[in-house]
Amino acid sequence: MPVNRIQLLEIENARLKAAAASEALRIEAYLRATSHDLRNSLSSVLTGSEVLLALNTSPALAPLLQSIQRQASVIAQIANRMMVDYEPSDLSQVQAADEAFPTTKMDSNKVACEGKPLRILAIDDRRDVLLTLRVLLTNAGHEFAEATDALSGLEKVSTFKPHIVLCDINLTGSLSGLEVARNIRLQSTAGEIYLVAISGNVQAEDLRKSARAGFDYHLAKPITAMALRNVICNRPKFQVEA
Amino acid sequence: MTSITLDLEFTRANLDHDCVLLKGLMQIAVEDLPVLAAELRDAADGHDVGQLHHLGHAIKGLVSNFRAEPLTALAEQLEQATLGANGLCWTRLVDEVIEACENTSLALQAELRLAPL
Repeated sequence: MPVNRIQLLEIENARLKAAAASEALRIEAYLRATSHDLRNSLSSVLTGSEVLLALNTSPALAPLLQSIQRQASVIAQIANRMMVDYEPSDLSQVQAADEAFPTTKMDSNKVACEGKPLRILAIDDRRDVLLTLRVLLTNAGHEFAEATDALSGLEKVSTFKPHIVLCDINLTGSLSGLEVARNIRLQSTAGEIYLVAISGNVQAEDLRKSARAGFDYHLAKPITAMALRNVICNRPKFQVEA
Repeated sequence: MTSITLDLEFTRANLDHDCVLLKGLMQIAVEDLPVLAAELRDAADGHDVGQLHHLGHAIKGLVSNFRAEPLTALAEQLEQATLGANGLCWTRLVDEVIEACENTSLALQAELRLAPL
């Protein structure tokens, strides 16, 4: 259904409000993280997480990364409880905290990478997954296209010419995600596409099937901004034997 | 009614603290859970095991965004039961999953009403 100009303005207004609110929350979260009592534990978790992301070319590390993410979530909850009455009033506190504790500095809430924006195609029949990918990737400045079934996804591979394809394994319809990957690999012009499987199933056999079908990597659901950032920026590859 | 647990702080952290996106995901779950529950009932009535497997997987994926329990665990049990993988009978699980869908949807609606944005 086409939208009129007033609706467009309302959407843009909501988007701006959302961006401002998101930025305010980011600053608050950062200041909370500088609480002295939490400094050491957060530092170790964040450092561990960064090291793992840097090393995360092997699916074998995924459980360890998830364990660290769980720890980070628990610590964040404690931080939130401690700082429940905190009201940010002075942005100079942010600078002071940054100088005192640089390791807690968060990136902007964008899945951005150095270099030019990428064309990224997502193929998934779940709208919650598409919404997450659309918001995180377009906020980061990437060009985003989506398809809800295999056939329209394959068509968009030809027309949109993506650098990266994120494809659900359990697609409804005639073709599964594995067959989508095989089809893309058969296209002579698609050799440079970085193919990522998306699935809630991340057993060793699932990873092997993805690798055999031609995927470069396997991203576990639910998708997190941190994992997505790692995939888009570092383009890790499977270390399993296909 | 079984108590429902949601871990929205986990979700918020996963989304780089984007509250608008979080609210969007909650809204989708509130809208989709009743539909998926109805489809589950139809699939169970028609003994469509393949569709039950697909729906169990879809529900698990949707609510794992929020670590919603017991629904995430029940949906996974249903997914496995339709493969004959965990020795459980899917006919018993369907009713539990449907009830948990309804309760989880209500819990998310309540959280949405409390959401600051």
